Amino acid sequence: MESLPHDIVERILELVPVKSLVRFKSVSKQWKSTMESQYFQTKQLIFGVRSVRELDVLLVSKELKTMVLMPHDHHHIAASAPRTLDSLSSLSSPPCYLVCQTSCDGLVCLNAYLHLTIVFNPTTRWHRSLPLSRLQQLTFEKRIRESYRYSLPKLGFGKDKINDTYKPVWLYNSYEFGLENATTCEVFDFSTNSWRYITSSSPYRVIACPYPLYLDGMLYWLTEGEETKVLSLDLHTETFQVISEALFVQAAPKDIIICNLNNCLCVSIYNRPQQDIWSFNSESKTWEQIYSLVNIYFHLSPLAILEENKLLCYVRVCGTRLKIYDPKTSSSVSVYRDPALSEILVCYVKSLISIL
Amino acid sequence: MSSNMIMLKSSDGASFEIEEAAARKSKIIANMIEVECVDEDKAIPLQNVTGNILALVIEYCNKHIVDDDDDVATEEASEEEEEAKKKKVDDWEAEFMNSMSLETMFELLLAANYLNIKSLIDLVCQTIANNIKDKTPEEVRKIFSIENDFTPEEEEEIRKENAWAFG
Repeated sequence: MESLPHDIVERILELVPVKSLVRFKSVSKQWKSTMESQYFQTKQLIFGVRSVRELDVLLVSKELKTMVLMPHDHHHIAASAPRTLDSLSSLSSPPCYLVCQTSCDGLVCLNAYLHLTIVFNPTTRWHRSLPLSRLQQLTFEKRIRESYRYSLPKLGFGKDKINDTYKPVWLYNSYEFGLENATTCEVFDFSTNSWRYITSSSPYRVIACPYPLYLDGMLYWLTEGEETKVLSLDLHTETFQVISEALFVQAAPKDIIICNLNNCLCVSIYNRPQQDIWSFNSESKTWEQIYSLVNIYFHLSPLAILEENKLLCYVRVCGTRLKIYDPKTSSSVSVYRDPALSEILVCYVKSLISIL
Repeated sequence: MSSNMIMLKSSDGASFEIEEAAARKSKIIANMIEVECVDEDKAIPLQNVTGNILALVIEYCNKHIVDDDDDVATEEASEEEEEAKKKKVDDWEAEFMNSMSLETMFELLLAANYLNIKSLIDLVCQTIANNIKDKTPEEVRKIFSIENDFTPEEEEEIRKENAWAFG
Protein backbone atom coordinates (compact mmCIF):
# COMPACT_ATOMS: atom_id res chain seq x y z
CA MET A 1 0.00 0.00 0.00
CA GLU A 2 1.12 3.54 -0.72
CA SER A 3 2.66 5.16 2.32
CA LEU A 4 1.45 8.59 3.35
CA PRO A 5 3.67 11.54 4.30
CA HIS A 6 3.67 12.02 8.05
CA ASP A 7 1.94 15.42 7.94
CA ILE A 8 -1.06 13.76 6.30
CA VAL A 9 -0.92 10.90 8.80
CA GLU A 10 -1.15 13.52 11.55
CA ARG A 11 -4.27 14.99 9.96
CA ILE A 12 -5.87 11.55 10.19
CA LEU A 13 -4.72 11.02 13.77
CA GLU A 14 -6.22 14.34 14.88
CA LEU A 15 -9.59 12.74 14.20
CA VAL A 16 -8.94 9.55 16.15
CA PRO A 17 -10.32 9.23 19.71
CA VAL A 18 -7.87 9.67 22.57
CA LYS A 19 -8.04 6.09 23.81
CA SER A 20 -6.99 4.76 20.40
CA LEU A 21 -4.22 7.34 20.19
CA VAL A 22 -2.77 6.22 23.50
CA ARG A 23 -2.74 2.66 22.18
CA PHE A 24 -1.12 3.81 18.93
CA LYS A 25 1.83 5.25 20.85
CA SER A 26 3.29 1.76 20.48
CA VAL A 27 3.10 1.83 16.67
CA SER A 28 6.47 3.52 16.19
CA LYS A 29 8.81 6.08 17.72
CA GLN A 30 7.60 8.71 15.29
CA TRP A 31 3.97 8.10 16.18
CA LYS A 32 4.79 8.19 19.87
CA SER A 33 6.57 11.51 19.58
CA THR A 34 3.61 12.88 17.61
CA MET A 35 1.20 11.92 20.43
CA GLU A 36 3.53 13.54 22.95
CA SER A 37 4.06 16.80 21.10
CA GLN A 38 2.21 19.81 22.41
CA TYR A 39 1.42 20.90 18.87
CA PHE A 40 -0.43 17.69 18.10
CA GLN A 41 -2.11 17.51 21.50
CA THR A 42 -3.56 20.97 20.99
CA LYS A 43 -4.78 20.23 17.46
CA GLN A 44 -6.35 16.97 18.59
CA LEU A 45 -8.10 18.80 21.42
CA ILE A 46 -9.72 21.24 19.01
CA PHE A 47 -11.21 18.40 16.97
CA GLY A 48 -12.18 16.49 20.09
CA VAL A 49 -14.13 19.39 21.50
CA ARG A 50 -15.98 20.00 18.26
CA SER A 51 -17.01 16.47 17.47
CA VAL A 52 -18.11 15.00 20.77
CA ARG A 53 -21.72 15.16 21.94
CA GLU A 54 -21.13 13.11 25.05
CA LEU A 55 -20.34 14.66 28.37
CA ASP A 56 -17.45 13.24 30.36
CA VAL A 57 -17.66 13.60 34.09
CA LEU A 58 -15.03 12.96 36.74
CA LEU A 59 -16.37 11.92 40.14
CA VAL A 60 -14.04 12.89 42.95
CA SER A 61 -14.20 11.56 46.49
CA LYS A 62 -11.77 9.23 48.23
CA GLU A 63 -11.67 7.50 44.86
CA LEU A 64 -11.59 8.84 41.35
CA LYS A 65 -14.17 7.62 38.88
CA THR A 66 -15.23 8.58 35.39
CA MET A 67 -18.65 8.50 33.84
CA VAL A 68 -20.03 9.33 30.41
CA LEU A 69 -23.38 11.01 29.85
CA MET A 70 -24.89 10.32 26.46
CA PRO A 71 -27.82 12.31 25.13
CA HIS A 72 -30.15 9.63 23.79
CA ASP A 73 -32.67 11.73 21.99
CA HIS A 74 -34.21 15.05 22.84
CA HIS A 75 -35.63 13.87 26.11
CA HIS A 76 -33.29 11.42 27.70
CA ILE A 77 -29.78 11.26 28.85
CA ALA A 78 -28.13 8.00 29.77
CA ALA A 79 -25.33 7.76 32.30
CA SER A 80 -22.76 5.00 32.00
CA ALA A 81 -21.84 3.08 35.14
CA PRO A 82 -18.94 4.93 36.79
CA ARG A 83 -15.53 3.33 36.29
CA THR A 84 -13.05 3.54 39.09
CA LEU A 85 -9.62 4.73 38.01
CA ASP A 86 -6.56 3.02 39.40
CA SER A 87 -5.15 5.02 42.24
CA LEU A 88 -2.57 7.49 41.10
CA SER A 89 0.24 5.04 41.54
CA SER A 90 2.97 7.21 43.00
CA LEU A 91 0.74 8.56 45.74
CA SER A 92 -0.70 7.11 48.86
CA SER A 93 -4.43 7.21 48.64
CA PRO A 94 -5.83 10.14 50.68
CA PRO A 95 -9.05 10.07 52.72
CA CYS A 96 -10.67 12.39 50.25
CA TYR A 97 -9.70 14.45 47.26
CA LEU A 98 -10.89 17.94 46.53
CA VAL A 99 -10.89 19.26 43.01
CA CYS A 100 -11.08 22.60 41.21
CA GLN A 101 -14.59 22.64 39.89
CA THR A 102 -13.60 23.71 36.41
CA SER A 103 -11.37 21.62 34.16
CA CYS A 104 -9.18 23.12 31.47
CA ASP A 105 -8.33 21.34 28.19
CA GLY A 106 -9.10 17.97 29.76
CA LEU A 107 -6.95 18.59 32.84
CA VAL A 108 -8.20 18.84 36.40
CA CYS A 109 -6.40 19.98 39.50
CA LEU A 110 -6.83 17.81 42.59
CA ASN A 111 -5.77 18.49 46.13
CA ALA A 112 -5.95 16.57 49.36
CA TYR A 113 -4.63 16.97 52.88
CA LEU A 114 -2.56 20.06 53.17
CA HIS A 115 0.30 18.87 51.09
CA LEU A 116 -1.03 17.11 48.03
CA THR A 117 -1.71 18.99 44.81
CA ILE A 118 -1.92 17.09 41.55
CA VAL A 119 -2.67 18.07 37.99
CA PHE A 120 -4.42 15.11 36.42
CA ASN A 121 -5.69 14.08 33.00
CA PRO A 122 -8.55 11.64 33.65
CA THR A 123 -8.47 10.41 30.06
CA THR A 124 -4.83 9.38 29.81
CA ARG A 125 -4.24 9.08 33.61
CA TRP A 126 -1.26 11.37 33.19
CA HIS A 127 -0.57 13.29 36.39
CA ARG A 128 2.00 15.53 37.98
CA SER A 129 2.39 16.42 41.65
CA LEU A 130 3.15 19.98 42.65
CA PRO A 131 5.39 21.04 45.53
CA LEU A 132 3.98 22.91 48.52
CA SER A 133 2.86 26.47 48.05
CA ARG A 134 3.67 29.12 50.65
CA LEU A 135 -0.01 29.09 51.67
CA GLN A 136 0.10 25.39 52.38
CA GLN A 137 3.25 25.78 54.46
CA LEU A 138 1.78 28.72 56.40
CA THR A 139 -1.43 26.86 57.09
CA PHE A 140 0.53 23.84 58.16
CA GLU A 141 2.60 25.86 60.65
CA LYS A 142 -0.45 27.68 61.92
CA ARG A 143 -2.24 24.42 62.56
CA ILE A 144 0.56 23.15 64.71
CA ARG A 145 1.14 26.43 66.56
CA GLU A 146 -2.37 27.65 67.18
CA SER A 147 -4.43 24.59 66.42
CA TYR A 148 -5.71 26.67 63.50
CA ARG A 149 -8.88 24.99 62.30
CA TYR A 150 -9.68 26.83 59.14
CA SER A 151 -9.49 24.85 55.97
CA LEU A 152 -7.53 25.99 52.96
CA PRO A 153 -9.03 28.45 50.52
CA LYS A 154 -10.04 26.89 47.22
CA LEU A 155 -7.50 26.32 44.49
CA GLY A 156 -8.05 27.76 41.02
CA PHE A 157 -6.74 26.25 37.81
CA GLY A 158 -6.66 27.67 34.31
CA LYS A 159 -4.64 28.62 31.31
CA ASP A 160 -2.84 31.66 29.95
CA LYS A 161 -4.23 31.40 26.44
CA ILE A 162 -1.65 33.72 24.90
CA ASN A 163 1.39 31.74 26.03
CA ASP A 164 -0.40 28.38 26.23
CA THR A 165 0.70 27.78 29.81
CA TYR A 166 -1.38 26.24 32.57
CA LYS A 167 -1.57 27.94 35.96
CA PRO A 168 -2.77 26.64 39.30
CA VAL A 169 -3.58 29.68 41.48
CA TRP A 170 -4.10 30.21 45.20
CA LEU A 171 -5.76 33.51 46.07
CA TYR A 172 -6.28 34.10 49.78
CA ASN A 173 -6.98 36.85 52.25
CA SER A 174 -3.72 38.19 53.68
CA TYR A 175 -4.81 39.29 57.14
CA GLU A 176 -5.13 35.80 58.61
CA PHE A 177 -1.50 35.14 57.81
CA GLY A 178 -0.19 38.54 58.82
CA LEU A 179 0.61 39.45 55.25
CA GLU A 180 0.24 42.78 53.47
CA ASN A 181 -2.53 43.92 51.08
CA ALA A 182 -6.06 42.61 51.02
CA THR A 183 -5.11 39.39 49.29
CA THR A 184 -2.07 37.35 48.45
CA CYS A 185 -1.81 35.39 45.25
CA GLU A 186 0.48 32.51 44.36
CA VAL A 187 0.80 31.08 40.88
CA PHE A 188 2.48 27.80 39.99
CA ASP A 189 5.02 27.89 37.20
CA PHE A 190 5.40 24.49 35.52
CA SER A 191 8.63 25.46 33.76
CA THR A 192 10.47 26.12 37.03
CA ASN A 193 8.36 23.68 39.07
CA SER A 194 7.78 26.29 41.76
CA TRP A 195 5.20 28.66 43.18
CA ARG A 196 5.71 32.40 42.91
CA TYR A 197 3.86 35.40 44.26
CA ILE A 198 2.26 37.73 41.80
CA THR A 199 2.70 41.39 42.56
CA SER A 200 -0.78 42.68 41.89
CA SER A 201 -3.37 42.26 44.57
CA SER A 202 -7.13 42.28 44.66
CA PRO A 203 -8.56 45.57 46.03
CA TYR A 204 -10.96 43.59 48.22
CA ARG A 205 -10.87 40.48 50.35
CA VAL A 206 -12.38 37.44 48.64
CA ILE A 207 -15.02 34.99 49.77
CA ALA A 208 -13.15 31.77 50.34
CA CYS A 209 -16.16 29.50 50.11
CA PRO A 210 -17.16 29.09 46.47
CA TYR A 211 -14.61 27.54 44.16
CA PRO A 212 -13.03 30.02 41.79
CA LEU A 213 -14.21 29.60 38.23
CA TYR A 214 -12.02 29.25 35.17
CA LEU A 215 -13.42 30.56 31.92
CA ASP A 216 -11.62 31.56 28.75
CA GLY A 217 -8.25 32.69 30.10
CA MET A 218 -9.63 34.17 33.32
CA LEU A 219 -10.24 33.05 36.88
CA TYR A 220 -13.14 34.51 38.85
CA TRP A 221 -13.83 35.03 42.56
CA LEU A 222 -16.44 36.95 44.53
CA THR A 223 -15.38 39.63 46.98
CA GLU A 224 -16.30 39.98 50.63
CA GLY A 225 -18.10 43.00 52.02
CA GLU A 226 -21.48 44.63 51.87
CA GLU A 227 -21.55 44.79 48.12
CA THR A 228 -20.40 41.58 46.53
CA LYS A 229 -18.32 42.15 43.43
CA VAL A 230 -16.94 39.83 40.80
CA LEU A 231 -13.18 39.81 40.66
CA SER A 232 -11.26 38.48 37.67
CA LEU A 233 -7.64 37.50 37.27
CA ASP A 234 -6.33 37.61 33.72
CA LEU A 235 -4.00 34.61 33.59
CA HIS A 236 -1.86 36.19 30.90
CA THR A 237 -1.25 39.66 32.33
CA GLU A 238 -1.71 38.44 35.94
CA THR A 239 -3.72 41.48 36.89
CA PHE A 240 -6.90 41.68 38.90
CA GLN A 241 -9.95 43.62 37.89
CA VAL A 242 -13.33 44.15 39.44
CA ILE A 243 -15.60 43.44 36.51
CA SER A 244 -19.02 43.97 37.99
CA GLU A 245 -21.07 44.37 41.08
CA ALA A 246 -23.25 41.43 41.87
CA LEU A 247 -25.96 43.13 43.85
CA PHE A 248 -28.19 40.10 43.81
CA VAL A 249 -25.77 38.21 46.01
CA GLN A 250 -27.26 38.47 49.45
CA ALA A 251 -26.55 35.08 50.78
CA ALA A 252 -24.25 33.31 53.16
CA PRO A 253 -20.98 32.41 51.43
CA LYS A 254 -21.80 28.71 51.60
CA ASP A 255 -24.94 29.32 49.52
CA ILE A 256 -23.08 30.77 46.56
CA ILE A 257 -21.67 28.85 43.60
CA ILE A 258 -19.84 30.41 40.67
CA CYS A 259 -20.16 28.29 37.54
CA ASN A 260 -19.80 28.16 33.80
CA LEU A 261 -22.99 27.56 31.81
CA ASN A 262 -22.83 27.81 28.01
CA ASN A 263 -19.46 29.54 28.32
CA CYS A 264 -20.88 32.33 30.42
CA LEU A 265 -19.92 33.32 33.92
CA CYS A 266 -22.85 32.42 36.16
CA VAL A 267 -23.61 32.75 39.84
CA SER A 268 -26.05 30.48 41.62
CA ILE A 269 -27.64 31.68 44.87
CA TYR A 270 -29.54 29.39 47.18
CA ASN A 271 -32.26 30.75 49.38
CA ARG A 272 -34.26 27.81 50.55
CA PRO A 273 -36.49 26.64 48.93
CA GLN A 274 -35.48 28.68 45.92
CA GLN A 275 -32.37 28.73 43.77
CA ASP A 276 -31.65 31.54 41.32
CA ILE A 277 -29.01 31.43 38.64
CA TRP A 278 -27.70 34.63 37.08
CA SER A 279 -25.66 34.85 33.92
CA PHE A 280 -23.24 37.67 33.16
CA ASN A 281 -23.31 39.38 29.80
CA SER A 282 -19.74 40.55 29.35
CA GLU A 283 -20.63 43.05 26.64
CA SER A 284 -23.36 44.96 28.40
CA LYS A 285 -21.86 44.18 31.84
CA THR A 286 -25.27 43.22 33.12
CA TRP A 287 -26.68 40.22 34.92
CA GLU A 288 -29.62 38.27 33.65
CA GLN A 289 -31.53 35.75 35.70
CA ILE A 290 -31.61 32.57 33.61
CA TYR A 291 -33.14 30.13 36.09
CA SER A 292 -35.32 30.36 39.12
CA LEU A 293 -35.68 26.91 40.57
CA VAL A 294 -38.43 26.34 43.11
CA ASN A 295 -38.99 23.70 45.75
CA ILE A 296 -35.32 22.98 46.00
CA TYR A 297 -34.24 21.54 49.30
CA PHE A 298 -30.51 21.41 48.70
CA HIS A 299 -28.38 23.77 46.67
CA LEU A 300 -27.86 22.12 43.28
CA SER A 301 -24.43 22.57 41.73
CA PRO A 302 -25.00 23.42 38.06
CA LEU A 303 -22.86 21.52 35.54
CA ALA A 304 -24.28 22.20 32.10
CA ILE A 305 -27.29 23.36 30.12
CA LEU A 306 -28.76 20.58 27.99
CA GLU A 307 -31.32 20.62 25.21
CA GLU A 308 -34.58 22.44 25.84
CA ASN A 309 -32.88 24.53 28.48
CA LYS A 310 -32.75 21.64 30.93
CA LEU A 311 -30.15 22.02 33.64
CA LEU A 312 -27.73 19.25 34.53
CA CYS A 313 -26.73 19.58 38.15
CA TYR A 314 -25.78 17.55 41.17
CA VAL A 315 -26.14 17.60 44.89
CA ARG A 316 -23.88 16.18 47.59
CA VAL A 317 -26.14 15.49 50.52
CA CYS A 318 -26.45 11.93 51.76
CA GLY A 319 -24.30 10.69 48.93
CA THR A 320 -24.31 12.04 45.42
CA ARG A 321 -27.21 12.62 43.09
CA LEU A 322 -26.89 13.76 39.50
CA LYS A 323 -30.10 15.36 38.28
CA ILE A 324 -31.66 17.01 35.31
CA TYR A 325 -33.94 19.92 36.16
CA ASP A 326 -36.62 20.83 33.67
CA PRO A 327 -37.67 24.47 34.02
CA LYS A 328 -40.88 23.79 32.07
CA THR A 329 -42.26 21.42 34.66
CA SER A 330 -40.21 22.70 37.62
CA SER A 331 -39.23 19.16 38.40
CA SER A 332 -36.11 17.08 38.23
CA VAL A 333 -35.18 13.51 37.42
CA SER A 334 -32.26 11.61 38.82
CA VAL A 335 -29.71 10.29 36.32
CA TYR A 336 -27.26 8.78 38.74
CA ARG A 337 -27.08 8.23 42.44
CA ASP A 338 -24.52 6.95 44.89
CA PRO A 339 -25.89 6.90 48.42
CA ALA A 340 -22.54 6.08 49.99
CA LEU A 341 -20.08 8.58 48.54
CA SER A 342 -20.20 12.32 48.59
CA GLU A 343 -18.57 13.15 45.30
CA ILE A 344 -17.57 16.36 43.59
CA LEU A 345 -18.38 16.25 39.88
CA VAL A 346 -16.34 17.94 37.20
CA CYS A 347 -17.04 17.94 33.47
CA TYR A 348 -14.01 17.60 31.24
CA VAL A 349 -13.13 16.97 27.61
CA LYS A 350 -11.12 13.96 26.54
CA SER A 351 -7.64 15.13 25.62
CA LEU A 352 -4.06 13.94 25.32
CA ILE A 353 -2.74 17.05 27.06
CA SER A 354 0.09 16.66 29.52
CA ILE A 355 2.42 19.27 30.96
CA LEU A 356 6.07 18.35 30.65
CA MET B 1 -26.67 27.96 -20.44
CA SER B 2 -23.55 25.96 -20.87
CA SER B 3 -20.77 26.43 -18.38
CA ASN B 4 -17.11 26.36 -19.21
CA MET B 5 -15.65 22.93 -19.54
CA ILE B 6 -12.00 22.13 -19.00
CA MET B 7 -9.94 19.02 -19.62
CA LEU B 8 -7.85 17.14 -17.08
CA LYS B 9 -5.34 14.48 -17.98
CA SER B 10 -4.26 11.77 -15.57
CA SER B 11 -0.73 10.40 -15.16
CA ASP B 12 -1.67 7.32 -17.17
CA GLY B 13 -2.98 9.39 -20.05
CA ALA B 14 -6.72 9.30 -19.51
CA SER B 15 -8.59 12.53 -20.28
CA PHE B 16 -11.58 13.83 -18.37
CA GLU B 17 -13.90 16.69 -19.13
CA ILE B 18 -15.13 18.63 -16.11
CA GLU B 19 -17.09 21.80 -15.49
CA GLU B 20 -14.89 24.65 -14.49
CA ALA B 21 -17.00 25.28 -11.36
CA ALA B 22 -16.37 21.71 -10.23
CA ALA B 23 -12.68 21.83 -11.07
CA ARG B 24 -12.34 24.98 -8.99
CA LYS B 25 -12.88 22.85 -5.88
CA SER B 26 -9.20 22.16 -6.35
CA LYS B 27 -7.20 25.16 -5.19
CA ILE B 28 -4.39 24.17 -7.53
CA ILE B 29 -6.59 24.08 -10.62
CA ALA B 30 -8.44 27.24 -9.51
CA ASN B 31 -5.05 28.96 -9.32
CA MET B 32 -4.11 27.76 -12.78
CA ILE B 33 -7.37 29.16 -14.13
CA GLU B 34 -6.80 32.49 -12.35
CA VAL B 35 -3.38 33.02 -13.86
CA GLU B 36 -4.68 31.84 -17.22
CA CYS B 37 -2.25 29.08 -17.81
CA VAL B 38 -5.14 26.91 -18.93
CA ASP B 39 -5.24 26.59 -22.66
CA GLU B 40 -8.80 25.98 -23.81
CA ASP B 41 -7.88 23.14 -26.14
CA LYS B 42 -5.25 21.57 -23.98
CA ALA B 43 -5.81 19.24 -21.07
CA ILE B 44 -4.23 20.08 -17.70
CA PRO B 45 -1.75 17.30 -16.98
CA LEU B 46 -1.86 15.92 -13.44
CA GLN B 47 1.27 13.82 -13.09
CA ASN B 48 0.50 12.54 -9.62
CA VAL B 49 -3.00 11.25 -10.16
CA THR B 50 -3.99 8.05 -11.96
CA GLY B 51 -7.14 7.81 -14.09
CA ASN B 52 -9.19 5.68 -11.70
CA ILE B 53 -8.46 8.04 -8.80
CA LEU B 54 -9.06 11.15 -10.89
CA ALA B 55 -12.46 9.71 -11.82
CA LEU B 56 -13.31 9.56 -8.10
CA VAL B 57 -12.06 13.10 -7.51
CA ILE B 58 -14.23 14.36 -10.38
CA GLU B 59 -17.25 12.46 -9.10
CA TYR B 60 -16.76 14.15 -5.73
CA CYS B 61 -16.27 17.62 -7.20
CA ASN B 62 -19.33 17.36 -9.43
CA LYS B 63 -21.45 16.44 -6.44
CA HIS B 64 -20.19 19.42 -4.46
CA ILE B 65 -20.36 22.25 -7.01
CA VAL B 66 -23.40 23.79 -5.34
CA ASP B 67 -21.83 23.96 -1.87
CA ASP B 68 -19.71 26.91 -2.79
CA ASP B 69 -22.71 29.08 -3.45
CA ASP B 70 -23.99 28.36 0.05
CA ASP B 71 -23.81 31.93 1.22
CA VAL B 72 -26.09 33.11 -1.54
CA ALA B 73 -28.40 30.14 -1.55
CA THR B 74 -29.05 29.79 2.17
CA GLU B 75 -30.60 33.22 2.57
CA GLU B 76 -34.04 31.91 1.82
CA ALA B 77 -33.76 28.27 2.68
CA SER B 78 -35.33 27.35 5.97
CA GLU B 79 -33.43 25.57 8.68
CA GLU B 80 -35.21 22.32 7.88
CA GLU B 81 -34.40 22.55 4.21
CA GLU B 82 -30.80 23.22 5.13
CA GLU B 83 -30.74 20.19 7.36
CA ALA B 84 -32.34 17.99 4.71
CA LYS B 85 -29.80 19.19 2.19
CA LYS B 86 -26.93 18.53 4.52
CA LYS B 87 -28.24 15.07 5.29
CA LYS B 88 -28.45 14.32 1.57
CA VAL B 89 -24.82 15.30 1.09
CA ASP B 90 -23.77 13.29 4.18
CA ASP B 91 -25.60 10.24 2.86
CA TRP B 92 -23.99 10.61 -0.51
CA GLU B 93 -20.53 10.96 1.05
CA ALA B 94 -21.07 7.91 3.25
CA GLU B 95 -22.11 5.90 0.21
CA PHE B 96 -19.18 7.27 -1.82
CA MET B 97 -16.63 6.25 0.83
CA ASN B 98 -18.36 3.03 1.77
CA SER B 99 -17.46 1.14 -1.37
CA MET B 100 -13.78 2.11 -1.17
CA SER B 101 -10.84 -0.01 -0.02
CA LEU B 102 -8.31 1.49 2.37
CA GLU B 103 -5.78 1.36 -0.42
CA THR B 104 -7.99 3.46 -2.68
CA MET B 105 -8.65 5.86 0.22
CA PHE B 106 -4.92 6.42 0.64
CA GLU B 107 -4.49 7.15 -3.06
CA LEU B 108 -7.52 9.43 -3.04
CA LEU B 109 -6.14 11.26 -0.01
CA LEU B 110 -2.80 11.82 -1.73
CA ALA B 111 -4.59 13.11 -4.82
CA ALA B 112 -6.84 15.41 -2.76
CA ASN B 113 -3.76 16.67 -0.96
CA TYR B 114 -1.90 17.28 -4.22
CA LEU B 115 -4.90 19.02 -5.78
CA ASN B 116 -5.59 20.83 -2.51
CA ILE B 117 -9.29 20.03 -2.08
CA LYS B 118 -9.79 20.64 1.61
CA SER B 119 -13.27 19.19 2.07
CA LEU B 120 -12.25 15.96 0.33
CA ILE B 121 -9.10 15.70 2.49
CA ASP B 122 -11.27 16.09 5.59
CA LEU B 123 -13.76 13.50 4.39
CA VAL B 124 -11.13 10.87 3.58
CA CYS B 125 -9.17 11.55 6.79
CA GLN B 126 -12.32 11.14 8.87
CA THR B 127 -13.19 7.89 7.10
CA ILE B 128 -9.72 6.47 7.63
CA ALA B 129 -9.78 7.65 11.27
CA ASN B 130 -13.08 5.81 11.84
CA ASN B 131 -11.65 2.79 10.13
CA ILE B 132 -8.52 2.50 12.26
CA LYS B 133 -9.76 3.60 15.65
CA ASP B 134 -10.56 0.10 16.89
CA LYS B 135 -7.50 -1.56 15.39
CA THR B 136 -4.47 -2.91 17.23
CA PRO B 137 -1.05 -1.28 16.84
CA GLU B 138 0.06 -4.29 14.74
CA GLU B 139 -2.82 -3.81 12.32
CA VAL B 140 -2.16 -0.09 12.13
CA ARG B 141 1.51 -0.67 11.27
CA LYS B 142 0.45 -2.91 8.43
CA ILE B 143 -2.07 -0.41 7.10
CA PHE B 144 0.41 2.48 7.14
CA SER B 145 3.43 0.35 6.11
CA ILE B 146 5.27 1.34 9.27
CA GLU B 147 8.16 -0.63 10.68
CA ASN B 148 8.14 -1.26 14.40
CA ASP B 149 11.30 0.47 15.63
CA PHE B 150 10.77 -0.30 19.32
CA THR B 151 12.66 -3.04 21.08
CA PRO B 152 10.31 -5.65 22.60
CA GLU B 153 11.18 -4.20 26.04
CA GLU B 154 10.31 -0.64 25.00
CA GLU B 155 7.04 -1.78 23.48
CA GLU B 156 6.15 -3.72 26.60
CA GLU B 157 6.89 -0.63 28.69
CA ILE B 158 4.44 1.51 26.67
CA ARG B 159 1.79 -1.19 26.92
CA LYS B 160 2.25 -1.42 30.65
CA GLU B 161 2.11 2.33 31.19
CA ASN B 162 -1.10 2.58 29.19
CA ALA B 163 -2.67 -0.78 29.93
CA TRP B 164 -6.16 0.77 30.18
CA ALA B 165 -6.07 1.78 26.50
CA PHE B 166 -5.28 -1.76 25.37
CA GLY B 167 -8.28 -3.31 27.16
